[in-house]
Amino acid sequence: MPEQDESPLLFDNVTKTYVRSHLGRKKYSRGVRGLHLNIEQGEIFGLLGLNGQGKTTTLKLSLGLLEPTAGTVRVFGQDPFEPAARAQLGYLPELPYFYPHLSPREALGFYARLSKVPRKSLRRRIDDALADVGLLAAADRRASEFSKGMLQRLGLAQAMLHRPKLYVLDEPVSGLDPLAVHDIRNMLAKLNTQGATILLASHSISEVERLCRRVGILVEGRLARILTSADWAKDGLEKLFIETVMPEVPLP
Amino acid sequence: MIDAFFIARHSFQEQLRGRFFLVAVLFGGLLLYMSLLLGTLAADQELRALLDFGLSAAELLATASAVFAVSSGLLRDMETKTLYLVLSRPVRRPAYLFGRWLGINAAAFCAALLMVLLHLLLLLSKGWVWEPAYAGAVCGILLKVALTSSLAALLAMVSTSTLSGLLMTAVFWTLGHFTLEMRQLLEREAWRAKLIGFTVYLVPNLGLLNFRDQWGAGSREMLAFAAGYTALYAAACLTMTAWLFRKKEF
Amino acid sequence: MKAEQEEPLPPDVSWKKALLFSAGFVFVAAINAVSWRIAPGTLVPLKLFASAQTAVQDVSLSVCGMRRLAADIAFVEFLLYYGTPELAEQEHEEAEEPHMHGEGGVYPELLARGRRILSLDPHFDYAALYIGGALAFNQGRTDEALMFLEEARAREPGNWRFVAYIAAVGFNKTGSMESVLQALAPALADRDCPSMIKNIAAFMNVRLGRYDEAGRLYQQLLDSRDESYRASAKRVLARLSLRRTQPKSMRGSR
Repeated sequence: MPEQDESPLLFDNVTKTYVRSHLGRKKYSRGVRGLHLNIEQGEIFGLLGLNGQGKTTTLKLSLGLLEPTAGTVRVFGQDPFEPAARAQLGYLPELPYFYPHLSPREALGFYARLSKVPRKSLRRRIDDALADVGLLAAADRRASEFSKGMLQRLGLAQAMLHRPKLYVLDEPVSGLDPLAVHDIRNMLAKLNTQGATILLASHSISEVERLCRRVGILVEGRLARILTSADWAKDGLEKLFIETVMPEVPLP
Repeated sequence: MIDAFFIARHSFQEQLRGRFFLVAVLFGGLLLYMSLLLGTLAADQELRALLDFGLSAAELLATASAVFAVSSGLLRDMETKTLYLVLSRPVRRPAYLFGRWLGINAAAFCAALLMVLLHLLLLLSKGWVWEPAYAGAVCGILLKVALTSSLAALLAMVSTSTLSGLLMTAVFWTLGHFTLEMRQLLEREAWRAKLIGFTVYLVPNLGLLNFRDQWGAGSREMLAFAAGYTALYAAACLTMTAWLFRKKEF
Repeated sequence: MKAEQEEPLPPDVSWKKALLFSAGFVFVAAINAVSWRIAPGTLVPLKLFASAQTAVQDVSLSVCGMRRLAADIAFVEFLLYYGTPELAEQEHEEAEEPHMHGEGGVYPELLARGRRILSLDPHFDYAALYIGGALAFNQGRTDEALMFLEEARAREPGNWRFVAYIAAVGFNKTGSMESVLQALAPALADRDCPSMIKNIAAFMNVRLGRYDEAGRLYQQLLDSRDESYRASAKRVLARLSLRRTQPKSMRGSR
């Protein structure tokens, strides 16, 4: 069991380099380089960056889906490759996909069992999660019939089932209509007030601005800058983001 | 291992509700119906023809459904990222793999046994008298399905697409029925023959499990030996698959 | 994008992979070698007979582990080639040979087809006895019949049926129907005796005037799965029972 004061997520000088072998020759490509990041307890941390700058790599490293080439990743003091570490986190991938033959209730039941939700509280947890995301009425329809927004909500529901302490969210509002964005934002805020720590990667600067207390900007795999809400209170996050990723671009 | 059980149950449900499974069962029923024609042409040997055709069809369809599900399932899970939702949970990768394989085989076994049941009804209606060799043949079929699907899992892990995985499995499966002939090649002097014959050490000895073609020659001891062989071969395949899967990056 | 030289590179695990696969292959090779030694099986390596077309068919089914089915299909093809419809009893009695299948009565592929079937399934006794009997008793190709039955017996040394048939074929060569029937007697009582052989034996009994024995065999043929033999047996039994009710003076020489 991790100690109470363990950081929810710590990247200690992490480098991830991808290798592709083809006919005996190896090709290397950069994921992240020298990443040093400590997500604090109870905060919502946003990860920004252009496409291919390492956001998804960072998230996958925190989930144990990738192994770092150098450095260490720790989730509540444990290696995310260990199942015990992953028991404390909930993950929402970009564009979540569910087995088409399952209803939401069945899908959540499956994931809840894998997350070691006790059998006695299984049904209640599923109902609570569905109610929280507004899908209780559609609980027995096939996931294949769901709209994008509904799938996103269902994705959030599966991340919440086991009441994790850390949420890792990849583009949680990507492609959603404004009403859905509003609902997701409120859900995340609610989770945070209940004590959850959230790491979210997003292209939506406005959402990150509204939700996050701190933001990290990735440029070519490196954490170029960490900003706090006080930093962008005056000029806005967008201006600071562009300054960081493309310093040669003149700003009005 | 409880995780493996849940994943197995989920895979089993997925297979039973899948289109391929339904098509395989329907096609199996059609083949049984067609076997009546062969039986008629075989005159005195009608029952033997019905017996062989039905068991062959059951084996072929169960094997095809298991191999297809194993070869395509993992790749599909990776492409649709449903795998991420499993591996981001406190589930060990080998447990996922083993659970998937177990569930798929359970569904394939159900398909085979359903066809066997229909087949038995057909045979008994034609006046066939029960022979214990039939049970041996069915056990052999189930063992073959399990072994071939474990090989398919390994080949799916080392191949780049579902099609290539299926093709490689098909090659191993066909060679596995030709081990007698390949061992003859080993005895020849030409190095080419020896090189081809050497692969017999790697392909599964499916003739050992073929109690259908060796009707009446099996015994309980032989069946136990065949089961042991299947367990060892499948364990080797699944262990290598698990190691590769553990190292795989998503 | 290429990683810079000073940055750490992923460790090379190819040697670990190679080690794993080598260990796996050695293990698999070992269990295969043990399985061949402990359970060699009853099948024999496939030999290809007859035409290229049949070779493709046989190999295609064999690679799917369906040699018995391939043998069944080969036997069906044999029956279609040889023909099962029996001539009418009248033609039977008028024919110089006991049986004339189809037209002309010359079947050059008989032996090759038989060998093909036994190569696919060495334990297809019914087919072996059927074809051996056809060669000997229908076609008069005694030497070929003996060769074929000896090959079948070599694959199944303990099978008494082949011994009985070989003896019967030998006696047939001498022209002694009684000896043939005596040699065939245990085989005729066998459950899996081909209907054709029973039909031949019944006909021989009729020739020898043993109508009761002939009638018994034709009664058994009423249960045959071959419709032509059932029909033929029915016709003959009707004639035999008519014969019994006729006064001796009205009965023919046979």
